[in-house]
Amino acid sequence: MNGRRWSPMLLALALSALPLGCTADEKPSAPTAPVRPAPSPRAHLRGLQGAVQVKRATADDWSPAQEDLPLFENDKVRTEAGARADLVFASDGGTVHLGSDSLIGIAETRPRPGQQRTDLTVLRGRIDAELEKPAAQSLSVTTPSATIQAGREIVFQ
Amino acid sequence: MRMPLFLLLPWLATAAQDTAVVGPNETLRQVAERTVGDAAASEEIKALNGLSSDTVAAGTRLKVPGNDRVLARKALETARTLVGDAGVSPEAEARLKEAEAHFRAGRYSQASEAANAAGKHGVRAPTPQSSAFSVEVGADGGATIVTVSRGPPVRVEAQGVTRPVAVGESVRVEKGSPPPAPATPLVAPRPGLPEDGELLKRRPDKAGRLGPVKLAWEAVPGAERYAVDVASESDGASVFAQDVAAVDVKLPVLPAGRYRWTVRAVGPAGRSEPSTARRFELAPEQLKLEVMKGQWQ
Repeated sequence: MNGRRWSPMLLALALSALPLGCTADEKPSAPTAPVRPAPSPRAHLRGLQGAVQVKRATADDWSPAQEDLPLFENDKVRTEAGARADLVFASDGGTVHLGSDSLIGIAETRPRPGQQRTDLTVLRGRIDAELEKPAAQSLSVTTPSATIQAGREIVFQ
Repeated sequence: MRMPLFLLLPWLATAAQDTAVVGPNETLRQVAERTVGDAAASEEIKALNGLSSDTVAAGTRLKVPGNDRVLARKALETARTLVGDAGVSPEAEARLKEAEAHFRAGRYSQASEAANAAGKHGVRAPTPQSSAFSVEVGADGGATIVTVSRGPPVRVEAQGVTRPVAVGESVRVEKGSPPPAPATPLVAPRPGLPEDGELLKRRPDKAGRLGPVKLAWEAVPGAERYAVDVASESDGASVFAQDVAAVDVKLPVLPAGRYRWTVRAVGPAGRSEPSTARRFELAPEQLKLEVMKGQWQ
């Protein structure tokens, strides 16, 4: 009688001594993918004039751009002859005026603690960049032949 | 051995004031070019000698500007840069205008003094902190042109070499090459006509607008074109802004009023600082009334 009464208690003690989530009966759970934060736009397109097109990093085709369109890393923007667009960077409000017949890309940047870089690749055409407060803002522009750095974050390579 | 002061003073007085004798068939501009190296100094020579005419007889000994003109000019150039960089500072602009008036009248010490004061006002005025630059990539992606138009220098790096590019400078980087030294910035053009503060009377058109007005300036070596900007003095609104290849431009008809104009040189090395601001006033020409003889006279 006593042996029957004690056996469930001993079993409960034995089970509690086992590491959590690792019971003998439990099936191993499938590994869950780490939750990735939604990418934040690096810039927005404003002041569109004429034919301005965007190619997303994940897309193969160009599509017409729209006012206030968010731009993410590796997105590309192109303007046709006579077209214009402004890129306003989300990090610090730096503005880049994209001239006609130009092709630019939102560069992939390496995040650094406490610092945010705005990186742009100009493949063709002309941009006019403005930093209202260069002491607090930064802009790094890369072209096929040079890297131009303006504002606060000046990194010598 | 120490030279007595009473002997030194007359020497200093004569050293500060140079003289030149007018040659046969020589104009005042030629005298200025020969003695000062700047034909524009003819007006100053005229003022220094109290001349009312540009014609001076050969053999006349004239006072010509000395080293104090060089110092005054340097002070003026510095003041122009400081006042220009500082944006609109009415006090600084007023002192700069005063300095330029003294300079044109050959009062070089007063010009230096006013220019220094203008520069101090310019430094005290809030300076715009914004930065502006352009990046241009050729169709083949082979070369990059970087031009800085405002604010602190930007850094241009290629092939492991970094060069700062300052305001007014431009650099062209060829693919696979380090950035060359920025091209020498262009100097600001010297305005010619109309003279500062000149009153220009023109016949109004049907809409009451006046013109034409021709602006002229001296050519700048290395300039490919010139950016002219004309603004109303009353509200500062731009009434004309255009790039021209010539060293003059004819303005469209304008309403009567006071105007301020500047011109910049533009070339491969970027844009120069704006020239000294010139002002002119446009007023309607008074029509001459001719009453026919007879009973109506």
